[in-house]
Amino acid sequence: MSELISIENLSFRYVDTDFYSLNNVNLKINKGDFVLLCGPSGCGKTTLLRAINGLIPNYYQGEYKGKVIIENKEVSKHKTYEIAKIAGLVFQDPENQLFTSSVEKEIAFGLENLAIPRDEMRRIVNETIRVLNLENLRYKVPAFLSGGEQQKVAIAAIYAMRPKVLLLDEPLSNLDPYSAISVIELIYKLNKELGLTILIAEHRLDWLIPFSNRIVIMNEGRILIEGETRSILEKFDLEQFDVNDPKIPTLAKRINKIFNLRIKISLTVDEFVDNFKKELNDRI
Amino acid sequence: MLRPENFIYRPKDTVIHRLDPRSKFYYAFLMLVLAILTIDFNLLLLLLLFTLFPILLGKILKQVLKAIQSSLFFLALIFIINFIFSLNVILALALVIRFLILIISFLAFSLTTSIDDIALSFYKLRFPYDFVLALTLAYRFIPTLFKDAVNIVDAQRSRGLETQKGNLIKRVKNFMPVIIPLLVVAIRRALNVAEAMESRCFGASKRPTNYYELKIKFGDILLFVASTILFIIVLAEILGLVKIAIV
Ligand SMILES: Nc1ncnc2c1ncn2[C@@H]1O[C@H](COP(=O)(O)OP(=O)(O)OP(=O)(O)O)[C@@H](O)[C@H]1O
Ligand SMILES: [Mg+2]
Repeated sequence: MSELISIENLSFRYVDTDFYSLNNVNLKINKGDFVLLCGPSGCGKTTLLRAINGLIPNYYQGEYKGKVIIENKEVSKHKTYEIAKIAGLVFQDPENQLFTSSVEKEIAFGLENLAIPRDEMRRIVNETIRVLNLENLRYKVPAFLSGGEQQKVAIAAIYAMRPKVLLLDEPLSNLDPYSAISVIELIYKLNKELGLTILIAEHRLDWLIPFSNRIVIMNEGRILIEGETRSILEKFDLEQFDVNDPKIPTLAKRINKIFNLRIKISLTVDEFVDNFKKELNDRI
Repeated sequence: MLRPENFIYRPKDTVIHRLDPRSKFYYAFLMLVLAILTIDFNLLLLLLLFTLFPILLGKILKQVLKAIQSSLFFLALIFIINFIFSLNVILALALVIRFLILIISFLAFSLTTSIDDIALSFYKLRFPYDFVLALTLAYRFIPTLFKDAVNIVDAQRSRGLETQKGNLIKRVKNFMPVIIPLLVVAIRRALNVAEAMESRCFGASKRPTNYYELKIKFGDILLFVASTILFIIVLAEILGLVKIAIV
């Protein structure tokens, strides 16, 4: 697999703070990855996403060491818009990232700024609306949509710029479970069918773990552990890193311990049931 | 009560909504000028009749009636004051009609024209992009800030803030615990919005393209010609050059 993002010895301190919000971070992200970024509040998730998207060090100033390279571009040497169209960032609060008066115009906003000619822009907007199933929202006012719809429009507005990687900062935190699941399905579709690399900061591991192939756990500006989802879950109890343990993998581990079984690590209920059956059959 | 939703554009698919904002503005402006130039009761009545066309064609009668309803107080005031000073019922009524024409032609424009189209007109007139965007953003965040204000008032009331008691100075003072947090919230919002715009490549080009386009269509030319003719005739009548037979 080819490398898309490479972060090398990155440290960052915001002006007016006396500590590093990112502390010697090293991370590589491959094309097609679905990476889950987790860690307790204040550990630097948002800061890391800003550093990949170019807001750091362009919009947020401070002390910057090391480098972030994305598609052979060194982030700190380019303007935000040059990086933002490769690494699109969706923010936590949908309300503040929707500024226009119709969904189609919202989706076009980034393309307008990039001075894409109108015919081309219409084609891209239509395709985005079709692929992401937003036809019924097309003429609605973004400010008056439900939270889940707003978050989808925010994602569509970034996807319209056809970035290589989609960075999402706690996109589910303001949503009810039902909307959250439909937003997750959309993100998964972008990853699986449209080949977008995903890096998502989120506390709700239970919902996202089945879709992710890698987990990164941070604390106090450092990356504590990082690796393939299943092997991380096999090796560690995430609770020790101040992260909520995801329920299903934990359930398997507990049952294994109590009944002295060896059920394989499972990410979904179905998988768990299958693995459970297999283990029982093997035993009998 | 002044309710903002009676003055706010709602998307609808009618002949009037589809017109170019520039031709609509031209029409509204001419009506305004005529209404101010004349004080003749019959002529004003005729103009009032003309303002009804876009209201009916644009299907905004309900909103317009509600808006008039909320300005009944002013209409009554205009009538009473002018009647007291002139003791002339016709004149007082004419002034009321003039005011109605002003409201209705303004509404015919504002209720059928989206902020995007208005902004685009400015942009076409070579106003800087920053200014045009600031205009749409201000409009976009009015309901949001209103919601923030209501939330803050509720929160402060639940901590015992009195907003309905005392004399004027006391009430204004009592609003400080609302104004300060509202300012903080608004500034924080503005910073977030700026950050989000940055991430959507704002500033990448000096002359961004536009998703919507403004095109002068047949209806616009028709409206332009019709309102110009109307304007000339009525102006001639006002200046006493011609005499229109009005029953
Ligand atoms: N604009 C800023 N100026 C100064 N310090 C900041 C700024 N943004 C974040 N910080 C600090 O940097 C540290 C990391 O913050 P960050 O927002 O990246 O954490 P996070 O992991 O996203 O937390 P959360 O889960 O609460 O969103 C925190 O100590 C925070 O106070
Ligand atoms: Mg954060």
